Amino acid sequence: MRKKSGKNAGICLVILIIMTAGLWTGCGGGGAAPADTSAAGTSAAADGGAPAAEAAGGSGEKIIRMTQAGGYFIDPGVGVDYASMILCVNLYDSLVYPDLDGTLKAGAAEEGWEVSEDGLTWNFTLRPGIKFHDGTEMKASDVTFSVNRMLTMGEGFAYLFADYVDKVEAIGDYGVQFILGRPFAPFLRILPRIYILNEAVVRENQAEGPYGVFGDYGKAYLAEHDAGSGAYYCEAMLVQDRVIMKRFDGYFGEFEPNAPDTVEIITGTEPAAVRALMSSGQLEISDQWQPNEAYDALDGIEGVSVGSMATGQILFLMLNTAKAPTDDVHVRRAISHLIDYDQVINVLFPGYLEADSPVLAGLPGHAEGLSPYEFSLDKAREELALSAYADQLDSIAVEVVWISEVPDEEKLALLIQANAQQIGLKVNVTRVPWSAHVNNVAAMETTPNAAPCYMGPDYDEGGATLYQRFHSDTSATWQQIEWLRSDAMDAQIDSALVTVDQDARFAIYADIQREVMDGVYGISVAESAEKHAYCDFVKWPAMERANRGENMASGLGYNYQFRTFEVNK
Amino acid sequence: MNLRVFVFKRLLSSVVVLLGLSVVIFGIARILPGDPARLALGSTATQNALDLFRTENHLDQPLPVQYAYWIGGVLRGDFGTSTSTKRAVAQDVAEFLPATLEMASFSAVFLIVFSITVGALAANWRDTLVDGLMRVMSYIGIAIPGFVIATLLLLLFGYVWPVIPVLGRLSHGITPPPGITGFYTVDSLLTGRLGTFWDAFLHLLIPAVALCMGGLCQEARLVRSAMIENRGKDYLAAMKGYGTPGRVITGKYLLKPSLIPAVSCMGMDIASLMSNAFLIEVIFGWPGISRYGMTAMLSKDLNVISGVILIFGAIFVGINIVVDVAVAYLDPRIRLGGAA
Amino acid sequence: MDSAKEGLKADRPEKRWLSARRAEELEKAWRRFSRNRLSVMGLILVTLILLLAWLAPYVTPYPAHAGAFTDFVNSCAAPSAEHWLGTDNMGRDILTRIVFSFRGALYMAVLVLAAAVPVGCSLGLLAGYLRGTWLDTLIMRVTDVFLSVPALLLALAVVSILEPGLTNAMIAVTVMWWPWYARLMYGIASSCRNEYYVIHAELIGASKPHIIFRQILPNCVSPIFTKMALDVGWVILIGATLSYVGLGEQPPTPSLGQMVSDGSRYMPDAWWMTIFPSFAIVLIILGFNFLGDGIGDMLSKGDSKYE
Repeated sequence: MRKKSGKNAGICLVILIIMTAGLWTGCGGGGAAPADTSAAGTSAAADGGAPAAEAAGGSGEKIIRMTQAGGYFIDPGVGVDYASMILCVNLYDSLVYPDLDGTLKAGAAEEGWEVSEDGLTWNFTLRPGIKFHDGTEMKASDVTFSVNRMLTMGEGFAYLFADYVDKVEAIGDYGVQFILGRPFAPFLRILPRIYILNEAVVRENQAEGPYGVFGDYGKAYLAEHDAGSGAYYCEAMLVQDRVIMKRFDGYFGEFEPNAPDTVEIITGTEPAAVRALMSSGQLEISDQWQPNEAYDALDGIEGVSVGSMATGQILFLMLNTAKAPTDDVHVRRAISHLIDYDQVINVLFPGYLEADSPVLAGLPGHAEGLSPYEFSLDKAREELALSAYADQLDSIAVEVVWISEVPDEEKLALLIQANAQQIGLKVNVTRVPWSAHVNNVAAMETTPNAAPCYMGPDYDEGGATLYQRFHSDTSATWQQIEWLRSDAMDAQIDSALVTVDQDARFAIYADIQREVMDGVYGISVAESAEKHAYCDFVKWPAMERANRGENMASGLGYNYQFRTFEVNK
Repeated sequence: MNLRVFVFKRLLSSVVVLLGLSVVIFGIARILPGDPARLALGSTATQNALDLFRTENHLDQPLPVQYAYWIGGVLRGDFGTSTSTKRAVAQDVAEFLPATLEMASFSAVFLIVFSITVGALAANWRDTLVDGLMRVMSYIGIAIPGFVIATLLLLLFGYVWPVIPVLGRLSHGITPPPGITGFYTVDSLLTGRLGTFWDAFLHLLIPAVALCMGGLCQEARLVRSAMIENRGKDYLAAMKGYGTPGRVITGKYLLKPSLIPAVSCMGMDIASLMSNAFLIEVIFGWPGISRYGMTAMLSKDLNVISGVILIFGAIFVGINIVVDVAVAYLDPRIRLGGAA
Repeated sequence: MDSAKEGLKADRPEKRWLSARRAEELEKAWRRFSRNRLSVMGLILVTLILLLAWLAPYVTPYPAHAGAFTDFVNSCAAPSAEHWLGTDNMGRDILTRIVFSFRGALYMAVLVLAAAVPVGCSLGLLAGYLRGTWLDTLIMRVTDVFLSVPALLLALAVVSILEPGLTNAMIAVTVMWWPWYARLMYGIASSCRNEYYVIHAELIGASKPHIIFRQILPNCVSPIFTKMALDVGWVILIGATLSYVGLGEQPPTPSLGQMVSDGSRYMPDAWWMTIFPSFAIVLIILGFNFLGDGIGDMLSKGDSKYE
């Protein structure tokens, strides 16, 4: 106790000194202060957490640790977000999966799948000898179980399949047959989202629940365990802390020679924590949610680089087209002229690219020759004058929300607010947590006028984006706060998705994109890039590809097939 | 009044208070605008899934019925399922509570030991530098919000002078000791893992200090003024006259009565430690129930919010009872005299 | 605010309408107040903060920076001659934003107390006077329920479930605050109830309102004012905490808690974003605490030791 007392008194003293010092610098204008901090910065980088470093260095195994935002799920029937997909891609296998450039490769299915003339029956044959993590072999019945589980639960990616898949059947041990209710041209593209679960394990561990003989469909168990066949198995899922995955030696596919033995996904994106971990060698890859200033600091750590790669997402400013004043197309056009797009891609978010359509430029089905929105306060003023609200600008306000988990969005919201002020348009900026936003957009009245939002296609074709953004099925979700609810639009999208001929399909996509740009159903602000700080000894194929400037088109999560990574330490 | 009767009465009124709290918190959780089913299952859930969820959770029933289901579950220890972890709230709480209790108890120990030591020292060296320093600290301590102390300590020990780890419960790469009590420090000692103990202890240090800082200075001030006041009392002079050794006088006859005001205030402070923990845990990435509750609040995880608040209510009520009993023990007038 | 006025009134005993006795009383009060140098310091600090908040648009270097303003070229600039306390991640002047954020803090403190004190006092008074009836039990049990969890915790829960924002933060804190006054008032009222002058008034047939408002209430004024003066600091502290977690004043309107939390993302390089708002919080609370202590000394008539 004596000893601690001394320490405690010391700490009190130090705080007191710091406070007094702070007061002095505050009063004196702080000539010496900047020098102080730079010294502080380097010292943090140099010996940050030195005592902890020994602990991590001792093990010497090939490990990749990465931070991610919380709120993810390892249950493939539940998760849809970025971190969930990183985990599912590694823990589970699907029949087919997209390569880094977007070409589909055979996963659990063998090459040579067949589709019937009418596009309604799809036949796959499982690769024999695929082992689940408990050593049992994957059978066709596991696939049908997984599909049925997803469809019955109706969560996660179920909505992709619910409208098309009528039934799925096992033909023998290895044959899987999907019967669609109506043709869906890009069916193969959504297939990677069916992750195959080990039926026996799930059934053994099911608890009581609402799904009849299936109990809770193993939800409680799968929230903390995996039942997959992926290249990694879940060794421990520590809720709100981290997920530890270990290399699965019985995996049917190939590992890079120096592929990591252990992968840890660490929950939490607090810049202070990320920085402390990285500078003490306890983190190999950072999350993508750090503010720009934080990346600069991370870049300064020895042996750490910062890279950026296209996320396959567009930063939208989604607009509620049903609520005043953004129900007026002129107001929406005015807002589209209020964003300084050059500043966005050069200053706010360096690395972002110009967007000229709601569909990513690299995505099949992107319409050529559309002109992007232009920043011009004069044009904004003209449009505003044309609007029905021109004479009541004092009494109306555009409500822009930004998501508190993504602090960079605030910058965009404030940029709009500042520019809107100059043309006399009132903009209120509000910060909401993501979950509250999801809840608010469930009803038109509580949906804000505008919200910046990152969104990518669920599968690699323009139709995915168009469906997610503009079809009535998706209104009342965060993907579409537009509340279009337009039958004409629905019909157009539906007709495109059943058109098997690619050129004809793309022509309809292009029409829709033109209409969207003209009607300003949301603004495509920029194609986003995500930044990661990563240790130089990590060879990360997706990042290398991005550094070479090649296009990236893989679906959410597939940039993180850790078996293709190398740890060259 | 008999101490046992006193405790029993306190317990009974606490049960009433907790039931009232459960009504309040249930009411608050249900005024939420929007659809709880959509909130729980996410934006992509299909209509069938939503309907199923509503029936499963009795959301289609009138509010009093919902309350009856809910409180019935709570009494059985079933707080419902968290939407953000997809696990039973009770399971999450059981996992996260020890971390908070460990930090809070360390903090409480710091609070008690240092406030008495510093207060006694300041009373001893009245009107010296020590005394003055403590007074300044006590003013600042009460005016400084927990999150400011925590942020400053994070800045100090996280960046400027990184001698003590400030984030998390253990360094990465150190496996937690087997869960016996849930307190990493205790468990590692029980299993003889000294290295782990030291690491866990270092991680505890800064959050615990940040947590008790505000209360510490105040308590010290109370102890000081009570000691100065009691020092002039006649019975001490009498004791001295009897030839009682100075150590005994200070320890038994001066310190003990001087602690009464501090102890009743300490009870409040230890209780408020737990509420300040809400911010401290978030800032230091401490995987405790407060951070869990805070995450739930920011994502409107209703079952968790109501469960955590109820549990905290129970803890506070418990601490208050303990404090009342402690004061009754210290002060014979309350113990032996009339109504409390 | 009330407390500040109280102090100012005491400050000017030379007004003509004052009788000699009253003037003398005020002078005594001032002497009791100023006996502690810290109280005077608090008065000066609070006056300064009130003036700054009131005159914010005129005294701050960049009033536009208090609202929606972005200047990304100057973001995170270190303290300099142009920006004494540096700029934040949007390039806004931190000094300006701190001064403007005093407004929200004071506004919240005043409104919360203005709402909580009358409600709490009248309920406490009622329960205290009607001691032993079912109304007393009801009111005091409800009070106990609210006091069973710290104000901060329940306020956090309430605001998080409602929409985050200054108004809801104020509602939440008010809901958590009135029980303290109810309990304080209850204690005083129920002890006054047995005093001879109340029994006397009852015997000569005074009406209940007369007894409550003319006989009992005057006894409660000074402890209530003392508590209010001390509570201003507490409300500001809780408000800052709510805005720290994003549940208080919403951007771009500056608030001290929010500035600290934003700033902590940019530590340690942009330390000024965290440090200065932190000091501002401590200063404003310290000011009100000192002033509150002084007012307590002043109202306690100097004979008893009111802690």
